[in-house]
Amino acid sequence: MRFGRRTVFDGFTASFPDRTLTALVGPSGSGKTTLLSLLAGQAQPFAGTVRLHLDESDAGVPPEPSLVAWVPQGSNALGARSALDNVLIGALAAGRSLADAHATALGEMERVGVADLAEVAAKDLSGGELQRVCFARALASGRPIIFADEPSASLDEASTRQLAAVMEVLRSTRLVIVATHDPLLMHSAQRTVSMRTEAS
Amino acid sequence: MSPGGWRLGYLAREVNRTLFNPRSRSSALLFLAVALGVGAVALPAVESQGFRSQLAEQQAAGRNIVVFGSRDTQHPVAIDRASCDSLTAVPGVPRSGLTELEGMDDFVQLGPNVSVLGSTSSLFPDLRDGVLLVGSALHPPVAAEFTLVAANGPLYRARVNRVEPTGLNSNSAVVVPLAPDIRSASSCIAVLDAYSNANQLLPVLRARLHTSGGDMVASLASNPTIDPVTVFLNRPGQYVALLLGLLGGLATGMITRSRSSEFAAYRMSGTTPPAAALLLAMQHLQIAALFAASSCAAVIVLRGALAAPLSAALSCLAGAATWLLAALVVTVDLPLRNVLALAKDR
Repeated sequence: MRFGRRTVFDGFTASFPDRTLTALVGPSGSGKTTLLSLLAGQAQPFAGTVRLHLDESDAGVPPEPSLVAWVPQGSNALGARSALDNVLIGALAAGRSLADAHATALGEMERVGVADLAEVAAKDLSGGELQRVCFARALASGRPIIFADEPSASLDEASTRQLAAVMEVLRSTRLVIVATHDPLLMHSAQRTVSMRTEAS
Repeated sequence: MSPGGWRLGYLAREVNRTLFNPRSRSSALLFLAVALGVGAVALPAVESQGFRSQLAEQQAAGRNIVVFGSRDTQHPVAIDRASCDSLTAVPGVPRSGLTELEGMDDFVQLGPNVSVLGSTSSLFPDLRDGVLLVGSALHPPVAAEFTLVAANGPLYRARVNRVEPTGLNSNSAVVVPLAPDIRSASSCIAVLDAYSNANQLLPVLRARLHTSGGDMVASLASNPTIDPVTVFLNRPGQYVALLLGLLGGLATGMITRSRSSEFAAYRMSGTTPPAAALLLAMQHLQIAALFAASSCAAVIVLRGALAAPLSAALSCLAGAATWLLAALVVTVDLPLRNVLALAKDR
């Protein structure tokens, strides 16, 4: 994988099993976000392949962006809308009816511990609460893969602990990959992929 | 229809819940659409008022009144009465008829030496009611209809004539019906409607007149250097709806771009680029439709003040289409962008 003259990955090979929480760790600039983009099909490798095996017997297919739900660094939410509305869009994007999406959204909010914040506007939530809402949104989307890009980057320790607890809940439900520097989140992961720059 | 998983109705619900949320930045676009929609009609209404008052002023001064007469008073022309009366058959000519000064007379209510003008009911329609028409400048009695007493005895039913444009020469005269046996006169007047082009109609009218005797000339009672109709038809203000639509569309696009990180929430939750594009298009369409609706409502309210209400409404619809197009152009790349790049775009 190259950006201009700069090679980001050279001879990189890794596999990420389903129903596993993997932490991508490494210093800034080591390519964590770029790897997530490659795995999600948002970027194409200059050489080599990325294959997604939907079951153990198939030969694999190229990654498809619509299979991935993202939890962003910072807060990408509809600020003026309620937390529930934000989670609902995940379920509605999956083609559910409104009633079904409502039930799914509330269920996922319950799972990550923000059900009591359902009617609060996203812009009135704390950073930690908002990140958990984003996780609930990703879960409600029903996508089999969740990528989280440094979700604790702007959180204090208490909020990060809450997020780590959410990770514990998520890790056996689907394929989750978290790019992080945070030791708390790393400890929640079943696997860790360490990345480094040439200098390190 | 299920664009990329979303049901169409739920996409519309998303647009409504975002736009009609008072805490949303996008809700400001609704106020903008209403304000610009009303403005797109209010400005032409103000222009129309100015145009109408200028036109009325020039009409009163004799604009669009064509006078046919003799080139040489020593060899007067005789214009056929029927041909002059029938100029009203030409589109854009509501009134026409012969006029002839029948002399001066003294009246009890009006005083001595009042001009008496003979004419036809095709030029002065009130003559059909069998009354004489007393010019308003003669200070007639206040009553609309009264008995006019000639100094030498006869009584006439008379009516105060409305203020006529300069060129008809009737405001300081008593207009009487031209005697039926008079078949021709040396002066024929045609009153064109305000929107007719006198210079274009003049040769048409001239060709329809039957004359004998001397040569005939045609002249305009007033020939202003600036024609308000031409000025109005070429006014830059007719493009104001398009301009406001363009500005509104650009503002919509820019505000949408400024919340692209919020828009990323849809893409991060599995909303496909086609569904995201449809969501944006529906949002833009709703705002542009509000612009069209508010401007059409303004056209209905201000229809009396607009010189051309239908034209104003059509301009506003074109403005709404411009709004939609401009907003789409400014945001066309948003649904296609990399999700992570979109999320970090603040």
